[in-house]
Amino acid sequence: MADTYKALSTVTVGAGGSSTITFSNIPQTYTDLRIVLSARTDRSGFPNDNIRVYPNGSSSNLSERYLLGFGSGVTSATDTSGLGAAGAVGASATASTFSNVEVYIPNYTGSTNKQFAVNAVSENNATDGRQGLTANLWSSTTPITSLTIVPSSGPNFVQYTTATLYGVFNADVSTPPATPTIGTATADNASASITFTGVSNAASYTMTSTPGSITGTGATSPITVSGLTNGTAYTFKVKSNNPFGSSAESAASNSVTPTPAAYESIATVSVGSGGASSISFSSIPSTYTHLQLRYIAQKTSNGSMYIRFNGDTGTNYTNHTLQGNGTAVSSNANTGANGTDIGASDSSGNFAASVIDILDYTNTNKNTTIRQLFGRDYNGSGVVWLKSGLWLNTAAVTSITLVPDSTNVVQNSHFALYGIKSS
Amino acid sequence: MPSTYTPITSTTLSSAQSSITFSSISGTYTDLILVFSNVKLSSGDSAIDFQVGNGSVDTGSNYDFNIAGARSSSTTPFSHSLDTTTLGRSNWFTSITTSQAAMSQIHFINYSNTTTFKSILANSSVDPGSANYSGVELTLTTWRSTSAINTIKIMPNVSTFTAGSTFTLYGIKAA
Repeated sequence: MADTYKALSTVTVGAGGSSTITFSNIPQTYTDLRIVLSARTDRSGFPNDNIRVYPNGSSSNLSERYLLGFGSGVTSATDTSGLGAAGAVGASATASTFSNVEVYIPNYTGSTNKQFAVNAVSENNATDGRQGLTANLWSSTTPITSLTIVPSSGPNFVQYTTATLYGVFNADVSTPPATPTIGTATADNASASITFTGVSNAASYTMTSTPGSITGTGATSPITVSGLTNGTAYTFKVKSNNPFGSSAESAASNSVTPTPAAYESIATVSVGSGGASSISFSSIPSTYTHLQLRYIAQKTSNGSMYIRFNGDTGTNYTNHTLQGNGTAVSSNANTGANGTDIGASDSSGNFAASVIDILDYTNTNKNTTIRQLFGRDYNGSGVVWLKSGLWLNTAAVTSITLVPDSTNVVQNSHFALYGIKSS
Repeated sequence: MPSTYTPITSTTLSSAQSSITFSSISGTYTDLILVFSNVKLSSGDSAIDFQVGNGSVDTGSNYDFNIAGARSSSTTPFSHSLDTTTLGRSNWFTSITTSQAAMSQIHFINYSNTTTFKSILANSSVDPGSANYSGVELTLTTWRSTSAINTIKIMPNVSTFTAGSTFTLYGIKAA
């Protein structure tokens, strides 16, 4: 029978303790990972402690639901601060007592979100014992290449704490997999996505570029290879991997040339129940040439909605509007305003639609100009307009605030800010 | 960062056609933009209309529109609206000869949400020239439905699109 369960690495904490236990450069040739942990921390005054497990060093996009028994009761709760509630004994536990923990991570090389199961027990002393079952999710499609374990309260794991990382392969074979079949490469911005047809008994696949030998790894098709140079033509070959080796490389894919994205999403605001008294986009990156704001919006009562830049509420805005109301066309001006009225509908109408272009927003030699297409409908009447707006300030735009004049923007209003590059 | 402005499909007519339909549009984007260019009609003057729907286009009286524009036949701009009509509108006036071409960008903002009526913005132009109906227009159409849009049909009110007319549908995806 093939050896499909292998110890990959063991960490034993030495004298002086350690604040972290890290497994890095985890091979991408297994299907699942298993960590076995025997842990005690120096958490003062408590017989118990929790552990946190951070994949790829990330402490974000983590969530968990745990069921915890502690002798005199049971509790269950959610947590987003890290993975793996329960898992270590604390300093006031019976001397030389350590916990007994398993962390199981299936499909760690896959392109789906990663689930972790943590089963942890610690028989701490005559009056305290913990049994924790924890379901965890890392909402990331990135393959796991490292795992960091830290005490929740610690601050350190004490001497003799041990952790072993195992690789588990889910097929009873002892030979490398067959060669996969290359599919179609599609270019993106500094990257490419390549499809392929997989083979049996493969734990992962490695896609390699020519030129550059830049690789991407995953468990399913397609695989994205990042770090490519825009303007350079690439082909790709794929091979399959398992604990017993790798296949030969496939034939080369079609040639593709990555190109920079000229239009990118920066941020979105979707207004929830209760509405919003303002909409803000802050810390706008300066890496674009132009900005575009697209929205649908409705207010609870009639009135204006103003756009302001960098929090400027002074009378530094002017605008002119060419508009039609269904029966006539008019043009009007508004100078010396403390914002440019970009409009919304009220509850007697339908949601207004608008596209606003803000050109050259980082240029410090120009006042900021906007151009707006806008329309709102009141069951047949309504208004459409083309508006020019000017913010009399040459500062680079770093934030945008939309403020209704007296009432809230209602639920289901939706605002999206995009960046546009010129090269 | 991946591009968030993605061409979904593009069609250049090889022969005259009475309408163009985009169906089974993915709901994975935030907005759609339909761009048509070099659009000419085989005869007569006509508005260019559209209908939208989910599964099939809605042919009921569920559209309102409001237009502001200017045309070469008059120095006076115009504004016009229609309520509970059977069509959305890209532009009211378009070419009257085959030598003039129309273009338009139609913005279907938040097209796949299922809680609001859909507000659809179009800015259009017809080659400026001596013909009566060249000009520029800005239009807002409301589709009185909270259904997600996954089908769009665009057609001249009368006549047919000629060969060479190009229609491209883009998807924009917000973060």
